[in-house]
Formats: sequence, C-alpha cells, structure tokens
Amino acid sequence: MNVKQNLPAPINTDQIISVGIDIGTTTTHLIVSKLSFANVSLVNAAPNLAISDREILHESAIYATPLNEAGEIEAPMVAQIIAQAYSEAGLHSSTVQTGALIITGQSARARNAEAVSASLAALAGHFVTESAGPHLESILAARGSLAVEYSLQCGKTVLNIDIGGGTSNFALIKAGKIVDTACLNVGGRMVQLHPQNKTIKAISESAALLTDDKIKKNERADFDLIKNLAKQSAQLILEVAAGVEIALPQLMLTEKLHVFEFDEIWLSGGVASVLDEANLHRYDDIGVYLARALKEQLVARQIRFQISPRAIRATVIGAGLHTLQLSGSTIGFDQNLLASLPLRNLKIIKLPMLLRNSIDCLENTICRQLKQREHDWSEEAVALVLSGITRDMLSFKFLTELSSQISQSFLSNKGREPLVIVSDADLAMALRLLLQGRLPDKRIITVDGINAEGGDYIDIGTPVSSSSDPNTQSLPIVVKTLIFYKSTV
Amino acid sequence: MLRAGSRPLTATWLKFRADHALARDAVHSELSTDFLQNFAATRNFPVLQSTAVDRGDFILYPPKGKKAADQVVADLEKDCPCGADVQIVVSDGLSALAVEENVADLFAMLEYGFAQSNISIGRTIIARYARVAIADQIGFQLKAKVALNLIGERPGLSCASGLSAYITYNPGPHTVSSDRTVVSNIHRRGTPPTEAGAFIVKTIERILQKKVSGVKLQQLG
Repeated sequence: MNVKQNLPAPINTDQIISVGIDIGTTTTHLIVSKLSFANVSLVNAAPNLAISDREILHESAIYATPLNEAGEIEAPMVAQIIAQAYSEAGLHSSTVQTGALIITGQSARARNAEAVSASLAALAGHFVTESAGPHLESILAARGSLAVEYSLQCGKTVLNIDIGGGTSNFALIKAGKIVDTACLNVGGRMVQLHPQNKTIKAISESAALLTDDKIKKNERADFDLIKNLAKQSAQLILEVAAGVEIALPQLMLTEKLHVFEFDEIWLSGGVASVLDEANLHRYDDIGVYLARALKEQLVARQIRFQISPRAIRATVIGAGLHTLQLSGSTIGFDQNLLASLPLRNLKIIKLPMLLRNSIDCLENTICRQLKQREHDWSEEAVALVLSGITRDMLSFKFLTELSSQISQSFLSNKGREPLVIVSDADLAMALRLLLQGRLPDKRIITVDGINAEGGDYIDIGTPVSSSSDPNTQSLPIVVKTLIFYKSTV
Repeated sequence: MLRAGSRPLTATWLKFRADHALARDAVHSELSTDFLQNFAATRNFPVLQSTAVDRGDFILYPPKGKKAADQVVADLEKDCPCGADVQIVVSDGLSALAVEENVADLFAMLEYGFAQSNISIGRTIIARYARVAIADQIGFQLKAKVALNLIGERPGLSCASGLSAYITYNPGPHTVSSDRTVVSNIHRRGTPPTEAGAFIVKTIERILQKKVSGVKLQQLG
C-alpha cells in the first residue's frame, strides 16, 4: 500500500484533490488523487487549461462491500469505510474539491443504490454520485487500468476486460480511443462459499442459469460443478471478446461488441488480480477458479494478453480521474456566480444544430425537448447542450441569433436560474456576453470544450485556474449518462 | 512509400511549397478596395498610411511601419474624439488577408462587448503598411487610455490568416514591447474571432481596472 502521510493543503488553484470511491459487487475502495492543471495553449494565444498531471496520493485498503441479506447496500457501513479512509489519508471532507462515488456491477442494481448515494452526500460533499451503467463502467475500467494510455502510446488496438465480482466489462480501445464497450453478467463472485464448511452461501442468477440450478444454496459445494461453471464463464468471456453472439443472450447487459479485432487483451478487475493465485479458496468464491480457467483458455488459443498494473483498482482510478472533463478556459463565468456552484444533476436538454438555418426554430426545439423530458423549466434549472456547431458557423450574426432564441425561450418558459449552456464549440465567452446583454439581471453560465451530447445529467464544479487572471478559468464538468441504471436481469 | 536519399518526400515538399506560397502572398497582400469600402468607408473610419510609401517599401524597411507621419496623426484630432477608453487601430501588418477574414466578426463582438461594459471606443482608424507600434502613436495623440491594435500576423507555414490583438495601457512614445498584452492566433481554426472578441473585452476591462498591461499585468497576483 502506497500511503503518503501529511497530504498538502490542497487549496492551490492549479491543483485539485479528487477522490474516487467504487462500491462494487464485491469490494469497496477509495482512491485520493491530485490533479494538476496547466495552460497548454500556444504562447499569447487565448489560454487553454488541461489536466497536466495525475498523482495518486492514497489508496485505501480494499473492503468487502457491506451488503445485507436482501442484497442491499448497508449505507452506514459504507460511510464508516469512507470516514476511515479519509482519516488514513489525512483528509478532511472539506479539502476534497471533487470526486466521484460510483456504484458499479451488481451493486448498481441493488434496489437501494440511489438511497445510498444520497445518504453519503454529506461525507462526500462535492461529489458526483452515480451508479455506473455497463457502458460507463467499461469505460472507467479501461481508463483506470492504463490500457487506454498503453494503446495510445503504442498505437495498438487493445481489448480491456475488467472482470469483477458480478460483471465483466469489455472496452475496445483503438490508438487510445475507446470505440466500443460491452458488458457480460458473469464474475468471480457469482458463487460464494461459507469460509468454514465450504457450503454454498450465495449464488447469483447468472450462475444458476449457467448450471441449470444444479448448484444449490446451503448445500455442500460440488467442486467439479464449480470448475465447470468457471470454464463455461471463461468461454463466454472469450466469446464476447470475439464478438460472437453468445448462446445465453440474457447474460449480456449490453449489445455485443461491434468491432472485435484487437492486438491484445488487457485484464483488470478482481479476477485479473488473482490470475496467479495459488489458493483456490482465497476469497471463498469462484474468482480464482475463473481466473485459472480464463488463463488456460487464453494460452490455449494463443491470445496475447497482459494483466493491468492496476488490476483491482482500475474502475475506481478511472472514476476518480477520468469522469471529470475540463471546460475551455474562455468561459462565460463571473466571480459573482461562485455562490451558484457547484451545480448538481442538471438535466441536459439537447439542442442539435445540424443545419446552419435550423437556428430559426431553436426556440421550438427547446420547448419540444423540455416537454419530451417532462421538465418544467420554471421549477428547476437545466443545462442546454448545443451540438453540431462547427467553427465555420461561429459568426457574430449566428451567435446573435443563437442568443436571441435562447433568451426568448428562457423568458417565455420562465426558466429557472442559472441559465446554463454547454457546447463543444469555442463560443462560451462570446455567447454569454451576448446573452447577458439580453438578460441583464439573470445569472448565466456558459461553458465550452465539453462534449455532453451522450449525457443525461451534468455536474459543474467550482472553477480551477492556472493563473491569477479571472478571465482564464476552467470549470470541472462531469457528464453523466444514466443516474440510476436499472437492469432487467 | 520508399525513400531515395535524404530529401523530403514529394508530397511533403509540395505541401511546403504550397504553404510557403500562401505565406508569401499574405505578406504581399494589400487591404482590398472592397474591404476598405465595406468595412471602413461605411462606418466612416479614416484610413491612414505609415511612413512607408508602398507595400514593397514596408516589407524592405520594417521600421517605416512603426509610425505614421506626425502631421497625419495630428490631423486625426480634427475628426476623431479624444480621450476614449479604448482606441482601436486596424492594421494590415504582415497579412492583410488576416484582417479581411477576421476583423468583421471580431469588431462586431468588440463593439457589442464594450457597449455592454460601458467602455468608450472613439473612432476606429485603419492603418496601412503598419506595425504594432503605430497604435501607440495614434492612441497617444488621441489621449486614449488603452490602444488596441488588431493586426495581421506574420504568416507561418500552417496559417496565413492569423490576427493578433496588441493591447497597451497608457500608450505613447515610452511604450516598449513588454508593456503590451497580446491575444494571438485569432482565426477560424485558432481562437474564433467572436470568442477572441469577448476575451479581449474582458481583458481590457481588467486592464482598465488594474491600470497596467503587458508583463506587469501578468505579474499581478
């Protein structure tokens, strides 16, 4: 364990302390990292902040996720784990500027996941709490396992497979870019044993399905059946890797992979970390069985693979470091808006602008989208996400029309402040200037450089800056896909 | 593709020649009559010339672009208001192309933003065959608090239409390079002119408040 004592006071504006907490099917752990920012634009050009360095300051011990008999997460015990990890790291919750609490795997499907993250909000004040859907989880694992960096550096196509307690997450990475993800509902903790008498303590629905209900709760474990289950599971994992339609499609939590040619496989997750474990019953589950079966088949099929150097913590590292995007540095934000931040769970209203002239009906589009999402703007603020704006469209005339349409619809809907606008095109400061002219008394925040098209909700943190110039700040943004993923399995 | 010898590949060489030709064209480009008509004349902006007699003279003798004749600048006082917060000068610099492509959107944004912030801008001057320092001479004459020179950048091989904004607080004969704040790389593929406009407004707001520009501004805090 790499514990650095006496963490520095993290108030420096060009660095922020970020915490990632992963409540998985099997384990719960926490990581504290320090993100540094630097201006990466050309000398004298308008500034552009980017995350320049990520340093892991503290890794907590790995705790078993506290679940009660009904399979619900026990929030008070999770709170205790977090509190202990904070004290070990010498952290106080007030010094943590950002972070993510991610509920993954089977836990995300626990009925009380939403309540848990709500009850932890006090401890994890500035946190994004989210239960990761299978796609996001795959992405987080691939980023945290270093597979993305590896793929970028050597230009290889890598398939990262993160095998946890309940699920296996696949992410295909082409030259550093995640191009496809998939998730299979098998993992190392599908069957759990009683530590003493080796009877079956728990069995997941997937495992029951795979063994035709032959493994029964409270009976003595039949190790041939378990070996067979592990073999079958390993086979399924490799079938998904090969892009094959598997025989039991109900075990897929996503569609199959659409792209399936890769140079090598990276393994992460709890199962990857026990690939060379000698004790078959180390964790009283089938994790080691599955690891062995998988290794055997990988070797037999002559597939190149390696174990991630950050196998078990891949998802949490991914969560702590990478869910965060940094906005462009010329944004529409004033110091007097500071009190409005952080903003959490703003509903995203998508406004795709496919044609240059579609701007005429933008006001209608906004109304339609609000209706579609059953959102009353006068009750709760939203984030308008503009997409499809290309550089060639950014004329003064275009922005003027844009601001006029937006301000009209804000007024006609009696929109709740702050008016938040997010775009991937470089327009935030200009758009805010124009909007403020039309809505002089309203609080307006515009951010750019953020692709939020795929999101449903957005969080906006407090600004970070690499200089004292108040005009060159960035806002940390987290785009969330689905707040509470619900599975049909 | 196979190489023979140490020369660049044909495609690379052709790309270099093409970019270089664009850069040369940009350096020799003049503000077109269309531009002078549409942008300057309609707004009643005066057009003056540096001490260089023509484009060739300006390219061959760079110091001539730093100043206009004293009498020319003194005459500006007749038609232009003195004592504005910001005196804008639009200069062709080393790429008239950059000015023609970017100034319309940039200027519109500046005009809107300055009005919002109650910053007065006097009458904008168009300067031909001009370099950065000419704005300090004009700003000094017209007693502006800030001189803002929107000027065509020296073309590089990747871009021939980049515009820069040089901003000087309390401009005059005493001004040196380190007194100027610069926002560069303004063009469609760099910082878009509209966004740059908003940023320049915010920057000048801060400069007026702090009463310094250039390195001194950077050193604050």
